[in-house]
Amino acid sequence: MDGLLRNFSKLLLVQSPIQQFNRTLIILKRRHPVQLQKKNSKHKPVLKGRHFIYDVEESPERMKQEKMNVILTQYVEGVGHQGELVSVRPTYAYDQLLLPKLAIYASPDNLERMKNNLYQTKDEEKPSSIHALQTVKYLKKMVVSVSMNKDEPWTIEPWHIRVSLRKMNVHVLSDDSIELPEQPISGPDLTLEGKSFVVHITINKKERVPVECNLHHWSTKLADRLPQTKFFTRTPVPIFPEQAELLMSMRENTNKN
Amino acid sequence: MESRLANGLKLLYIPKKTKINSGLGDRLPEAYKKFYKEWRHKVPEPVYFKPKPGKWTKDEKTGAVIPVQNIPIPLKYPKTMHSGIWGGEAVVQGFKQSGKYKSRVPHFWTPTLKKSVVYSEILNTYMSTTVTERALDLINKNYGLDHYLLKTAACDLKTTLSLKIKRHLLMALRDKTLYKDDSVKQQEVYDKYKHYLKDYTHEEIEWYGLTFDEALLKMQDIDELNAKEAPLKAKYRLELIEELKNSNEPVEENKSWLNKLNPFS
Repeated sequence: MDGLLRNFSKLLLVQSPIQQFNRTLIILKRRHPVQLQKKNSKHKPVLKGRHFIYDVEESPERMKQEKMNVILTQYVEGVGHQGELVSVRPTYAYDQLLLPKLAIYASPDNLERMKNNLYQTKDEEKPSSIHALQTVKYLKKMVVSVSMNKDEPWTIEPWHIRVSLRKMNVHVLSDDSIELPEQPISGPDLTLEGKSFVVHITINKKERVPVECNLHHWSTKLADRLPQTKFFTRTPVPIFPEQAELLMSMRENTNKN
Repeated sequence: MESRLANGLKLLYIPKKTKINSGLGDRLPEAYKKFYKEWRHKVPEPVYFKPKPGKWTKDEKTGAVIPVQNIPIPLKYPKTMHSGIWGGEAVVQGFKQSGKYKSRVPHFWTPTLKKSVVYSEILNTYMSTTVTERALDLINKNYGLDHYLLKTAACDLKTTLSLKIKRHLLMALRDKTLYKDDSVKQQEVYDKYKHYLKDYTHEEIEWYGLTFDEALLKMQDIDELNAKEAPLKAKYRLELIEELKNSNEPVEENKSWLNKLNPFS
């Protein structure tokens, strides 16, 4: 027990047995070791047939890849800001970051440069978070169905949009970030059924995204309900004519992507 | 007596015939021979086995001290490997045996290849090649293709393609032909890699990375250039003109023998 305590610090230093050097390789071992050869002999070692029977000692190919560090040279969606040291899978790093020159290797030279703020950007130019631009793209593609009551009178308020977005798994934390069109929309008004309007959502008080909403009248009575339609593929009919251009351009962009 | 005997035996020693010390290969310049030895004769780093560390081991049962001899696993180098960057990998031919009393079954352990792209900073080009995962791994560990190729010995690169790229890299560094339009970038990249030039002379880079046949052709071209002499006709003509200029003999006037035949004179 004494010895164990004394040598405990050494135990902590012991490296893990899984060390990866050659990932795709197999490490072979001869089943029958070769007999001792003459010292400093110039001849090739004498190998018999039995010396070519190999056992696979380990196959690092099957092991999980260790992550590697790279320094980003520009903002990459979902990965990091410019000048950030990030740890990613080697295949992803090589194919997606290093080859297109979005990142450089975290070599000692480059790390030194990074410390001297050569790769840093100002905070104002940065997107608000690493996932912000991804979220922008996601929201732009959306067509949100806003279901309103067919019988009771209402006027659309930010919380209606928040609830509709929540149904599509987008959680808006504050109603302040939802910006409705200037003119109020109120109903029930069946002339508005299936027509679209645009609301703006602000992410992290920085990125402002237009989101397409589609109005739908819904009744608690089963018999009164309107039939379901594929409003998200139809060409949008705007409620406000001034939003027509914006709506069309948004749809065109999503079709391109 | 014994030492004399050993000396006698030395006289009997005939060096092994290789491509570069027999036949046409013997005439190749030392610069190429140095590269060839580095490529073909040097023992590559162990890839498929883990070498035992140390010089001596103890037998587990008897406790006898035995020297450690790491005998490498023989590798096969297929022709197709020369069109890719394999990072020292090759084909292992051998047997599998599932039990002591089962018959052994032949088996080839081959590397998994994949098509990928490599980027060279010195040449500023993307190249689409066949690579192995180990090659990509080594590129990543050396912080880039250029560092990996320039650091690694020819016997570990092995494939002609990687040696060709290395040759281009060395030539570009030697002649400073990188980034011709941008002198600032050129100096920056040159400073980054210039320490690799220390190991080579001008002529060695000229001959680096050539296959044996290419080296012979290059030698032939050089020989032809040297052997091209001016024809003797031109040489003799010059000599004659010189001679005539130097000679002080009065030049006879043009007296054609036809004059003598003039019947009216």
